Amino acid sequence: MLIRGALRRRARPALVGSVATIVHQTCEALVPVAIGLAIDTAVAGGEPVRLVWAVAGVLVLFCFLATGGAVGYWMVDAASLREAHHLRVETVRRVLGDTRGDRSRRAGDVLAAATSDATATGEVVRIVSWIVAAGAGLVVSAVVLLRIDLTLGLGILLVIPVLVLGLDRLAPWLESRVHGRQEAGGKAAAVAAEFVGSGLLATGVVLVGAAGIAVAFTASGRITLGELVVVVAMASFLADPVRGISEAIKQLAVSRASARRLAALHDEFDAPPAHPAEAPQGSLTLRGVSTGPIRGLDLAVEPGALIGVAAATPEAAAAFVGLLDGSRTPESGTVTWGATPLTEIAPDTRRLALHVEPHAVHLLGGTLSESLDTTSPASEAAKAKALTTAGAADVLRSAGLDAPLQDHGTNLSGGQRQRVALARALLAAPRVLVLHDPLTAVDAVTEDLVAEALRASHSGEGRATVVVTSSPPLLSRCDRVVFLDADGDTHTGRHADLLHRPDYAKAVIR
Amino acid sequence: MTLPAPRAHHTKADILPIASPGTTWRALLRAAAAHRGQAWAALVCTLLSSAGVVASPLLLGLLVDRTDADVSVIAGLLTALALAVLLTAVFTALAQRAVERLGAQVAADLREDTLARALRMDSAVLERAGSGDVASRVTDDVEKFVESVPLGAAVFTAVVTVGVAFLGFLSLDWRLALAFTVVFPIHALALRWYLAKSGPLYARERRSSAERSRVLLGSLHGLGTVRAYRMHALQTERVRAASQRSVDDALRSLGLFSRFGMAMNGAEAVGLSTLLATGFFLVRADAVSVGAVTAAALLFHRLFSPLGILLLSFDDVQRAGAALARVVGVALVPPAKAAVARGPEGQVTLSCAGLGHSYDGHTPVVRDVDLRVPAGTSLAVVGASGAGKTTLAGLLGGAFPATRGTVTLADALGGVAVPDLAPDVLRDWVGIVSQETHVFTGTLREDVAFAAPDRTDAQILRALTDVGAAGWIAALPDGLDTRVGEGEHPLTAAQVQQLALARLLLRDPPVVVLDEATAEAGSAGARDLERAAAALVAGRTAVVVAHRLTQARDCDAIVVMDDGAIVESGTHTDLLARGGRYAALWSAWSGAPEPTGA
Repeated sequence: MLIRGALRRRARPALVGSVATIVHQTCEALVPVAIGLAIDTAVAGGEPVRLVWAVAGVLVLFCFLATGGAVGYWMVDAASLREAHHLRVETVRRVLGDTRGDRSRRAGDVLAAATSDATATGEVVRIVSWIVAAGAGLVVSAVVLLRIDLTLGLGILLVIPVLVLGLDRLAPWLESRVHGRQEAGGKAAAVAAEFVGSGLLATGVVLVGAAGIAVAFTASGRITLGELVVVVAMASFLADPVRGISEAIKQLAVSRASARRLAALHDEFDAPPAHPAEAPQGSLTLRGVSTGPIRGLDLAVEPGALIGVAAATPEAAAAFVGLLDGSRTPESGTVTWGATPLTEIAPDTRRLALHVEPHAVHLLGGTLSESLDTTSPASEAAKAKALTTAGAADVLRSAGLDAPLQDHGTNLSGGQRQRVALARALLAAPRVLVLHDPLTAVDAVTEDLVAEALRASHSGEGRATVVVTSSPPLLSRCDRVVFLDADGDTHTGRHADLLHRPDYAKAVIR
Repeated sequence: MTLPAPRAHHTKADILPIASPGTTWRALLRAAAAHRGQAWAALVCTLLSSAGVVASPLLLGLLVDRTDADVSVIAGLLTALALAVLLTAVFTALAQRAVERLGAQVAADLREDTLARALRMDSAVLERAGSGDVASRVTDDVEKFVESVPLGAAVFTAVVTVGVAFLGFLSLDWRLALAFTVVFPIHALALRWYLAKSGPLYARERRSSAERSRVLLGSLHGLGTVRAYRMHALQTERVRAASQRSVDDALRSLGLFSRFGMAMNGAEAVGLSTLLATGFFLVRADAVSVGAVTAAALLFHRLFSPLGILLLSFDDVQRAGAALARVVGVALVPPAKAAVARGPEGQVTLSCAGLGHSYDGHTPVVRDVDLRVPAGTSLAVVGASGAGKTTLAGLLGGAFPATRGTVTLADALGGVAVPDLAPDVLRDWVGIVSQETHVFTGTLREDVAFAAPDRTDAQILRALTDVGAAGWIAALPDGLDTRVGEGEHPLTAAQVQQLALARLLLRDPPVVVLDEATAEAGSAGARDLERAAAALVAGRTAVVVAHRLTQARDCDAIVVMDDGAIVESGTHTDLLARGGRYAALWSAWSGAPEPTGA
């Protein structure tokens, strides 16, 4: 189905390329004819003017041969490359934009699909063009042979299809061996090698048979000397298109296996919807939520609030974050935005309302500036401001916004990456930002500065932040702190007040 | 911007030697000679296959001249032709297989040899050359050579065929042979033009395709982030742009290749015309028979494809040759001088003097560090991000040698400089847990015990208990047999760190270097890891790079780093009393206005 689409999309270049390749193949097939003709008319005792004609004929033939070859090759290969590119981007678009988000495909599998499978599927354009062109080469040879001698031509032409069909019959069996795992390619190559051997042998048999009969015919005067040369050269030329077709059929099997894998991957992921226009009205409310280690949690996140969430166990903290990023559904109670349950809001709309920054930092893009871009473009000034708030002014100062990020930030230290990711989250400006242990790899002094800047950025703005952490510098600056104790019960208050609880103090004091 | 140590990119010129063409050829022939039987089989099969290719046009030429001869002569020639064709088919298939198999074996030998050489190499040479150079030689270059084996086999066959064909031309008439050589200058000119353009074009194509893979892989690894932000439109566009660039570059190479193909066809046209014209006049002068000219023309036609293979693969062969020269060059490095190959005896003291390091050769990241960590004691290294802590940890742990000064380990038998330690005993002396640890795909048991494969399950479980991982592992349905790694059972950052600590505990080196082993975990998880790290530090000589100052407080001594140098050192109590940088850090960290000794 992907293959049909690929051929439809690339129909025009494939057609032009095939025609050019047919011209090329025809000329290739005519080279021995030209040699025979030149020998017959000129070399075997002809006048010098005949030689001029023969040479001119050879040159004209090669003009067509060369042009057809170059144009055909370029058109067909370019179409294959462009199709592979198209499939690659479509695969990536689906995988990255997926809204269901519950499949854990290995990155390596998707990478293989987007590179080698996309390339192999795109190759289909080239392979089909080859088959068409090689078939045309066979037809031209057939016409030439039949014109020389009907019996001889028919003999050769009956043997060739038998060979091709025989190879075709074997192709599905070969495909089943290649399908499944591309790593088994080594084995498949070995199997394919056996076929090259048998193909050579088969065409050899044809050649010998044809030569034998042709010589007998020449001896009896049925065909001329030049025609003998043509017949023998043609019979050996026939090996090329026949081998080409059998080779192409094998490659087609590989392409079809790749296309099937790619199609399965495409089916698994939805094509992403277009972006919505605006954020939904309302605010985030958790009512009587129980899930895993959390029991009966109530929390209303009013606009502009800075709320801390501290947990006695890492499991409770992770469960709380899971409720908000959609990876966990409450066993009882509701998590709503306005009047709508969070899980019923489309992901694109939800993100404008609520963003949960993953704790594991992945910076994307090739420069510091690009790593801060997410859905809408931000000015350089806004980026600099966000970096400063996130305590990453040192990164900005030492390298600048256009500093390249090696392999997505591995040239930054762990603490620097965390702070750049925090700046990115601040720039994304959701109505509610959820941070999970945002500053664990940051030294104490910087942590304190960032906590203060985060507090300062909250005065007068309508955006709320929920920070899940056990860091006293952060918690002490929150409007209020929700403490999830070891029994799953919640206690709300300011950091300083909660410190009187021994279990809270144990959870946050280090 | 601070660069974490081992990934620094080396752009230095090659420091390791590159073998001369002569040495490279000798190495290749020596490697082939090691498989004498197969080498002979490959050579003989190729010669026979080429002889068959050349024989059939020659026999056809004879037939053309003898169509009026009696039946027995024609029958004899026909039988010879039939045999030639059949033998060509059989020997071409055999030769291809034999040459490819020989090539694969030679490549495997070279890979093994080079790896063994690289492992025995002097670590000083290795560092000067940059680990990147050595790594790319034993991986990329060997790979390039291995990949070129099938092509090399085809080229070898083509060279032999062209050589044998030239003998065939000579057997017909020397003037026809001379006419055939007219294609060579044309080919040479076309090749020169092509190679001058293709080198840079192909290099560009490879770069853009590497960049495409990088962007693609980055996007997939950051999938969680892309989905959390719903930034797929932007990220897909980044991938599209990178992929488009690589397509554009590939098309440019393709265009050049098409034009080169046309040039080859031109040479064929000129060659064929010259042969026919020469034949015409020779036949007129009664110097050769029509059959000889026919044979020459057909022979030339048969050479189209081997000549094409030779020309089109010229630059690939050149590249494979260059890769091979770099691979063989590794063998020219003298092996390391007597490295210390003994393991440690009892407890070990770690010390360094005047230790300094710079990644780029002029900006020092660590400078003039003097340290002594007495056997069985622990030292904490604290400081702001970018102060050089990770680099210092790498130097002390022997991850890479310092550009100035040395690190010395002293046990009951005396002192040993870390760079002198043989690579396979280094980790018996000193173990490192770095900021970024990895999980290998496999079972939990394999993952923890790969550095010490002889450990029993009981020992593995004890180590996992000591690092606080026993609880969650016991809760797994398959316990130690649970498969972890990419796409398998997911582990939290803290769990991955616990596994890294358990790994070290099993290997049981007397010296450990922990580089912010608790950084990536959430703060609650960090406390568990802190306990796990404490289990590892107990009774060992330890250097602990700590963000969490409670960890520093528990160490016997603390140094504070700033801008690559040590600015304060002492015990926790001393440093608090001094009221300097550490005291300020501690007060910010603990949120306590007054420094408390506890």
